[in-house]
Amino acid sequence: MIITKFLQSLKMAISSILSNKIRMFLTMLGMIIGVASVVLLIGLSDGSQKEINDSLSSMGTDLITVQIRNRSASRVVSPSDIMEFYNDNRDILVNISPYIGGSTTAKVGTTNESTTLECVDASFADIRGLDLDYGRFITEDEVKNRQNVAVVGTYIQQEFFDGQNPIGQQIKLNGIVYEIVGVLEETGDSTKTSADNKVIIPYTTARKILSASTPSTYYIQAASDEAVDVAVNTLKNYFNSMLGKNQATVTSQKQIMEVIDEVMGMLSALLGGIAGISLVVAGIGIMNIMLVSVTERTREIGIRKAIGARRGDILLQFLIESVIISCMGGLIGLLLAIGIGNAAAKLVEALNFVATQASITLAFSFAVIVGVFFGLYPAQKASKLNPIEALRFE
Amino acid sequence: MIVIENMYKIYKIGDIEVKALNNVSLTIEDREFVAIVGPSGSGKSTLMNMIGCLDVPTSGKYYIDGQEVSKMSDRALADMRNRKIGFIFQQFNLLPKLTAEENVQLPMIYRGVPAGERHRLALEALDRVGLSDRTHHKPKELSGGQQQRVAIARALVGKPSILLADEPTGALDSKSGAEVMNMMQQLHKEGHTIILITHDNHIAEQAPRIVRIQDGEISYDSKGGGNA
Ligand SMILES: Nc1ncnc2c1ncn2[C@@H]1O[C@H](COP(=O)(O)OP(=O)(O)O)[C@@H](O)[C@H]1O
Ligand SMILES: [Mg+2]
Repeated sequence: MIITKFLQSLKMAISSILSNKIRMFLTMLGMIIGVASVVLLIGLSDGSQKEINDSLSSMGTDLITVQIRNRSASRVVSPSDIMEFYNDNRDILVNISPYIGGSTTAKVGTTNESTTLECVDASFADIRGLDLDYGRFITEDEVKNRQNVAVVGTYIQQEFFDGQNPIGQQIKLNGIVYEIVGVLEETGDSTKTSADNKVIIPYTTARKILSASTPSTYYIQAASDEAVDVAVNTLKNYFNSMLGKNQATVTSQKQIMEVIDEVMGMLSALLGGIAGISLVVAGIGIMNIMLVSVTERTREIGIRKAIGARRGDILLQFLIESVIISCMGGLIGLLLAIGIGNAAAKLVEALNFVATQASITLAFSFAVIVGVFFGLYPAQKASKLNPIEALRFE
Repeated sequence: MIVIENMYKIYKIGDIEVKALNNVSLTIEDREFVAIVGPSGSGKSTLMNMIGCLDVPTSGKYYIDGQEVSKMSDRALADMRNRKIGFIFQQFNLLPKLTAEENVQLPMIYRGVPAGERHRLALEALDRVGLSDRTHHKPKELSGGQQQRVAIARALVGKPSILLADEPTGALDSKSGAEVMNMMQQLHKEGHTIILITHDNHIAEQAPRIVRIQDGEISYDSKGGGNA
């Protein structure tokens, strides 16, 4: 019986909407724009968050970096100290590499080119997930034996070797001869200012080229994503005890991503919230039209009541009408947002769009809530009409 | 059966009290055909609203089939109207966007009758008023007399105990009016209780019992041998 009545109210609401198409569409338009802007803004913001996260996690979410400040020369941590610590903590740490960054002048034949120099251990390739186009990465033996071997970026390959395979060729770094054993996969666009203009050599040979040749940075790989937090704490404790408080900064990729997630989440909530205001405005539009509709249909309401409609029946009829308007508006808005979002992401490269289930659910349920909330007052007004007065209404 | 005991309906406008119903007592048996007559402003419509469960009296008691209506809640009144009363209005009061059949189905919808059954009952009622061939017509596609017959079908469909007609011929030409009155007579013969409200003595005379109301009081009741 309740279902019969509900279906009937639904039918009445639909036919009432259909008999007033233009008015109902204009009322719906507010809801369409509201929902579309919520989904679009949240989707664009979520899209760029996903983009940032993807590029960060491609560097490895298990990555930890340690930066040692060199204020007091009295207490130092040597690479061998750190290797000892690393060997004691093999359960949470799987790879470690010192890192000395600098710049140098590379020379092949008569061509000179200034380039970024990275002095690292053999495990660096695994830690940073480096892939190679040609050859191989530097080996543990080469590091141990301080051999002059180098892995170069694609810019070096282009500039000095015309894009040919340079394996076995020689390159002079600050005048010291190194043998090229590998070429890195392109990461940027192979220009001078990109990350492809670089040379990687064993850290044990850094002193031949750079003045500051003691590593102050270490790249460490945790055993798993779950082990990252434990590893960070263990590292902090170790450096605190070795160097004194706050002489080393331990950061994990995971922490950075968490911070970015938080900031982007706030941004997306803010944008969604601002767009949400338009949903409220749309709701007021619905309320306005429903109030007009109740007045226009006063006599109908009187007839229905005389025939035996309860207050609840009338309430339901009008409420369903405003909910249908909101839901249809919401649905159209949703499709519109997904269409516009994907088109915009295709046309503009900087834009990314993801319509997450969360944002869709949020926007749609908000539309329904708005429909119920702003439909309630007109529906209640209709249901409370005095049948005698309503029947007299012309 | 309808029993009204010492019913008052008092409207207060500022300091002025209007006794639209002033100590009215009236009993109407099942299967009676009663005409309620009186000049304009005498309280006919007020009495009809009371009998039709559209309003509650200021004081007094009202029973339909033994149930006390005068103390009922809004919701219970709606259900009484739905089950016990069939309204026939001067202005027909059909819903313009619905077809004849849909209009006739309305009381059944609010009673929660399933669609198939509703359809059957509506066709049956339309058949009784001779409109089986007009089920898909909208009110504006029907003549006044036909519209009133749809309204009668709507009043009949729920098999109420009372048919309450307020000036049912008031908006009709004399031929359609006569048709509607014939139908009233017919329904009375078939065993319906009919209460007819009119200001027209000629119409009233067609009813076996006439109740006259004046200034909110019953001044004449043909059943009570001339006085109430
Ligand atoms: N809602 C109301 N408010 C105030 N006075 C009313 C109202 N309804 C009816 N009355 C008064 O009650 C009296 C009876 O009215 P009514 O029952 O409509 O008479 P009738 O239908 O016989 O013409 C009239 O004096 C009328 O002015
Ligand atoms: Mg009247």
